[in-house]
Amino acid sequence: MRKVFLALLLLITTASLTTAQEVTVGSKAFTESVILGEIATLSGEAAGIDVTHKDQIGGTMLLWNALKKGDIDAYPDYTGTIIKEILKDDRLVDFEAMRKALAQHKVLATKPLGFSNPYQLGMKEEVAEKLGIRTISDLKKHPELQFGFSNEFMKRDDGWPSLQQRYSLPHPADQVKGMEHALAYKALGVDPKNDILVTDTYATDPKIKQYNLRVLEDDLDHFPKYETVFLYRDDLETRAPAFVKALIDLEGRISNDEMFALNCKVELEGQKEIQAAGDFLNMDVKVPTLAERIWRTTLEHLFLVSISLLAAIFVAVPLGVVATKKPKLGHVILTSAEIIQTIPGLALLVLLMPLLSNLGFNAIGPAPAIVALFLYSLLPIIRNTHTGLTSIPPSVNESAEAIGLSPWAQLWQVELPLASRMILAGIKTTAAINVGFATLGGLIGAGGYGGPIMEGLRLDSTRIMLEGAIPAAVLALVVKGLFELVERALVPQGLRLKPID
Amino acid sequence: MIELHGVSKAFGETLALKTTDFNLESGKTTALLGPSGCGKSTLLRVMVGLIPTDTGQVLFDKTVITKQNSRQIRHRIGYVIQDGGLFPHLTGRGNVTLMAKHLGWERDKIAARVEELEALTQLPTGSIDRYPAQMSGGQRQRVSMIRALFLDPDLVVLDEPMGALDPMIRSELQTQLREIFTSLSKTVVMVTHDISEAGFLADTVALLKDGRIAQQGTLADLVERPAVPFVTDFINAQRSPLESLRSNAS
Repeated sequence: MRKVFLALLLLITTASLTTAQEVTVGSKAFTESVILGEIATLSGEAAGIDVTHKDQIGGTMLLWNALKKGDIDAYPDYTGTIIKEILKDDRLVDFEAMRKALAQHKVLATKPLGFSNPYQLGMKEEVAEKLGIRTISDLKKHPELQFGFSNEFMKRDDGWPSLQQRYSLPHPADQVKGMEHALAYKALGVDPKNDILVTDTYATDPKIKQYNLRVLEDDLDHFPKYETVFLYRDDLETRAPAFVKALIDLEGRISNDEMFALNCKVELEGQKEIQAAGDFLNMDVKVPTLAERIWRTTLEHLFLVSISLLAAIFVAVPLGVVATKKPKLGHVILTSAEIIQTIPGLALLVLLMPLLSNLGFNAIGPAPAIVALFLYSLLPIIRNTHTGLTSIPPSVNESAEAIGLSPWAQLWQVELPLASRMILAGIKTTAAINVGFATLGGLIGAGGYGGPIMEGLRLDSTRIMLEGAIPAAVLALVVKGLFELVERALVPQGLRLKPID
Repeated sequence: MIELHGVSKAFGETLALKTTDFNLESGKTTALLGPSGCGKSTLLRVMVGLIPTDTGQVLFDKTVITKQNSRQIRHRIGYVIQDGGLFPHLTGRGNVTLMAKHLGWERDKIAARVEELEALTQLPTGSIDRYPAQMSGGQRQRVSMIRALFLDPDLVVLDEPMGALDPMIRSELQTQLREIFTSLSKTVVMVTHDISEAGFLADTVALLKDGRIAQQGTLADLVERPAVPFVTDFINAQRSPLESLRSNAS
């Protein structure tokens, strides 16, 4: 028993450590970042480095912290974001000052990749034409207009609040709504009374083409220039100098038009990021087929679910036994497991990431997902073990004691077999739920079916989302079926008979 | 065989067994009799160390039963409870051989013992390999009896062994039990609320009321020389079929 446990621990540990031996590139959860991540990955591989790309993992701070911690070695970001959001220091006006400030965090930056990607405001071309709006200043003449901005833009230092101040825009708060960015684009309309007419966008955003938007000129130069750079850990210079050289070789190589075209290829033409990146680098890349992608995500998903479930069984069944034998302690155990269960999944992941990070685990990747799944699995298994054991008829327990079985023999030969059906039912439920819950791992780069689901959400593509959602549903059914077979094998035959009278 | 000295037992506020002295004679069958809640089942469980006493001592074969030795002592006691208390996940054979296997008996010895006891209890051939759910009430009780006798105990304890059986099977099993008790000449103690069953099977009867032994003696003693009026009331409370017939006719 102890050996199995140690082996499990080892497996979890190595799973999170193996990625640390090569170069790991990260990217944020939007198309341009993922494409740049693929470009860095392919360039590194061309230079003979073993590169892993943890794609579409959350936002700025998650990646920045992962970079400082060493969970990833490099990722693309924008100078405006670095200064405003990461370093939070407006005095860093020039590029060299920013690089010096980064160096204090042992992080280096390449020179700009060539394209600039500032925030912009956009509205439908025909509406802008009709209302005669060309510049942001022109918006002052239309105080009745409604704005729909991304939530991040509503909060950012260089976002709506300072923009409104800079241009003295008269629009009251109830005409300015924060929303999911993809929804803001969809909501853009033509009726000044009822529709949102203006949203935030950025220079290389394919949505400008997709929705035929007019970009309003920033005539007062409010938005900072957003140059794109790769940030990387300074230890890469000694660990993988060839990779650093590959990143530096990308400096000044990507123009605005090129980046815009790459984004369009992915978002409007349905190309995979790796394909777009390969085309840009003139490299032959092997784009995984649908079957290969599903096979890979299935293995990743099974890894998350099986490791966490096995660990939970080894912990929760004994806890259920203890809870039955020591009712007072049992109350504490059950209540604790219930409390864990009430923590929302996303919150649990976010809580676990710094915790695991401090314990030396990789916070980006499967570790937090496995621990979260493990914690969620505890309650149903503990509770079913407890219920299974407490519902054994007293006469049976008394018989076991009366014939002089030791408590240990009583547990193994009488109580656990009698509770087996209930315990297995708990494990079965947990397994099926975990298959669904593990898709949340997509948010933190844990792999599995969450990856395509996140990708589908990001690209507003139902087809890609279903690449994760359908296998997840099928796997849940398969897992259920498997457990029914296990049940047939493990639950004693005598318990599956109906009494004759 | 078993001696109780000043034993009492309370469950929460309820005093189930008031300070009691009791002696179980070797080689005899004793019935504990009394109305529901009189403490007869508690007395039985205290005797075999299944529940600890609040005061006093229980001696088994002149040894004080303690928490430490009670499991060892229980290997020398066979126990049959109302619905048999068979483990539903094991076949009859699994049930009766569980403890012997646990104690490391050899396979041949176990098989021979099963056969011997099957014959003694007149269990129909093949029944032993069924699961409890597939057996009739009488078969379950016989298998339970085999389990109790398996390790050749010094004492056999039965808690309302016939409580769940219909009258025909009950009467048949009573006859058989009496034969078994006589042939094995073991010390037997049983709980029942059926006075005719007690009279039929037991050498000595102990009648309990409110956690105390009201009278101990032969059934004839209780009928002819009742110690307190309750003894007569209890005996008269059990209606015979003839009496029922008479009261309906009038």
